[in-house]
Amino acid sequence: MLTGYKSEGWREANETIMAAFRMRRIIITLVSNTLLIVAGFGIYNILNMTVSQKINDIAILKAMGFKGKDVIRIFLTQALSIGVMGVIGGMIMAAVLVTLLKKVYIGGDIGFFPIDYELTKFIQGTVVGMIITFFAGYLPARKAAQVDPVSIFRK
Amino acid sequence: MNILETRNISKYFHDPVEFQVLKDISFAVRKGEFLSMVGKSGSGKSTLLYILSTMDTEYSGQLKVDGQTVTGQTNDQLAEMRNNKIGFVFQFHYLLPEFSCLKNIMLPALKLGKYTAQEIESRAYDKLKLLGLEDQALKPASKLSGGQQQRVAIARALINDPHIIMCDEPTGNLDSKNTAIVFDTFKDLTRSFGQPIIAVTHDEEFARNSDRIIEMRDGEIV
Repeated sequence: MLTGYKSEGWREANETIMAAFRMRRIIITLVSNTLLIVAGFGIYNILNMTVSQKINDIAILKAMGFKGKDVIRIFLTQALSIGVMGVIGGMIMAAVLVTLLKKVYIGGDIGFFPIDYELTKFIQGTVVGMIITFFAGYLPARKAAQVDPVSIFRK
Repeated sequence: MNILETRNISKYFHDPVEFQVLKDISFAVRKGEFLSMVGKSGSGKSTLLYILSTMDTEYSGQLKVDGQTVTGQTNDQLAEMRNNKIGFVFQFHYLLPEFSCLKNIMLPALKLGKYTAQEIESRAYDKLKLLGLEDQALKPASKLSGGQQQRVAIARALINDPHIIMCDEPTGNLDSKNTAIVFDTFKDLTRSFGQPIIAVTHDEEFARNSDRIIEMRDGEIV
């Protein structure tokens, strides 16, 4: 304080901009997570409907000697195949969008839109997508596994 | 040698009121026997069949399949046992409509995993031939007539060479011509292969032609 000068890093000097960056990151995370959860509910609903529609078939499979875990495997397979198709579709779309966005000129010091193919993001997307699919599929699958064939045949 | 034996089986329904559906049922099914269970609606015959099939486990008493006590086994053990030893035919065929007849028949065998897929396929063809349906093998199950579907269901019940076949109103949904075909098939199975069959039925003629009739009234065998 003797000289009347003080020093600070660029982060401190631009605290407002840094806060804006942080806010943006929070919003992006929230929006993408919301989308994943919505997609998860989609899969959950499809599977739930399939289980209700196929309840006779589930009963007959159980009568023939399929165990609870076999039934779970059938429905998880369906859920995961929906998940895998979604992930592959999502990857292709992401790659196309990145390719296009890279060519968008936004001017200023930045020039072209600063985006590139980031492997970690693709891996993150796959992993989180599959985890959500798994749970969205597991709940209806467990319901299917608990079907009591006798109560179905009685109707 | 008894293929199936029950000792003092009783069952209660608790809803809406306490009601005893089965009262101390004890009987046995011998090897190679074609047994019909008859009785009015509510006499407990279907309930008894579901207990015999090991799908219903809420009863008191003891059930033996093939000399082995199955009462008290876990659901998974029972499922395995059903896959191995029991074939089912229901009133409403219950084939999987999206699959071909052949696939439907192969399904329990693929689950059992005793043979390779090719062996299972040729065995499934044999069963279809036995029931006169080999030309329908590759059609989707939903494209067949009711009588044909029921015969495919019988072929499916046979695929794992079950120790016993259980039927719930196997002809309940069929006209007299198809009833005759199904009946002759069953008769043939017991005669030629010594295949034990238990059938719950309303059809008096069907019952009269079987080896033994068990009549049920108010939860008891009369």
